[in-house]
Amino acid sequence: MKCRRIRGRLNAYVDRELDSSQMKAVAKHLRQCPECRSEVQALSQLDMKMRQLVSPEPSLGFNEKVMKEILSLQPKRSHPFQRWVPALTYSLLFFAVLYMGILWNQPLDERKATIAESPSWSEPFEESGNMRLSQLQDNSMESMWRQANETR
Amino acid sequence: MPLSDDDLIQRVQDGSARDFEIIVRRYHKPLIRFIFHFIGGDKDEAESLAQDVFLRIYTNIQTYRPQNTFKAYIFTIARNTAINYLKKNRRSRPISHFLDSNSESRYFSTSETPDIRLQRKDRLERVSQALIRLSLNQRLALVLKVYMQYSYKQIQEVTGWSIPKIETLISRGRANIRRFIESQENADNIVTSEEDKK
Repeated sequence: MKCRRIRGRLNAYVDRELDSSQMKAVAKHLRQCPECRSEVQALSQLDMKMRQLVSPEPSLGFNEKVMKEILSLQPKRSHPFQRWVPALTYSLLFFAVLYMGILWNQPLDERKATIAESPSWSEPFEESGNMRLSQLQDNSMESMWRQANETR
Repeated sequence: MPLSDDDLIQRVQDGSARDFEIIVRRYHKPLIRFIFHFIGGDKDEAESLAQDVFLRIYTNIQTYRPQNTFKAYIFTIARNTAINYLKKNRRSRPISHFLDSNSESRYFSTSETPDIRLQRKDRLERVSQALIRLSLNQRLALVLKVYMQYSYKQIQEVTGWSIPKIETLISRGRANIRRFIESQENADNIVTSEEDKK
């Protein structure tokens, strides 16, 4: 490798970030090149100088202080069900949209039949006696209200 | 066998706040070390910011999902917290607190002669001044490399930078520190030789 190319990788060499073949190639070059060798030495010495700025020991009671703050916060416990709420909501929404889509694409007669087959839809209407599903024959909301008022 | 970080987080997410103490015990030292060197050597501020980091992680614990390691996550939060602090406290001239009077005992032993002590203090002063003058990115890369002894891959996990970018930042950061130290030494030599002439 050429000296100029090696120079660009000397930091990575000092940091041992080159792959093994590159490390060997740089080491081989360093044996022949005093300039690159002194550059490597200067980089290593700089790191040593920087490390002389030693780190402080944490103050006594630091952990206790942090934990006191944390325990004073609102309890973070979440009910396991809470995590399922968004998923459940989206699933229900998806199925509702799917159902509406299927219903929309059916001819009117089939649509009525599908609704009539569904007990959860038909029963409350039939029990109240106010409005029957057969009334859905006419799509006009106005006429449905008129019929509903007549049966009262 | 000690619990993994992810197991501990799971327990905290299930409501056991006490398990967070193990996380605090595990990470408080490296966290304070990182912030201390990154913001310019102020121990009190480093501890206060480290506390903020733990509180921020705890209050957002329900939204934590493991992508990288928890260690990378914690240092990403620390990086953001420290950068916000530095931006908020931006001064026309950066100040290094490494050699504040209350930290002298950390650097100098009482057995040192005054001359040696002065020389060492000058040298440390130059390094600390050079470090605080680097751009935020160069300083972040160097602090993670030199003081945290992170590999380029680990630096990438914290910063999201590419490996070539990390290599460039580290190499330019070191070059700038050397240039600053050399310029200071040259200036000192000029002053000394002028005083000798008198």
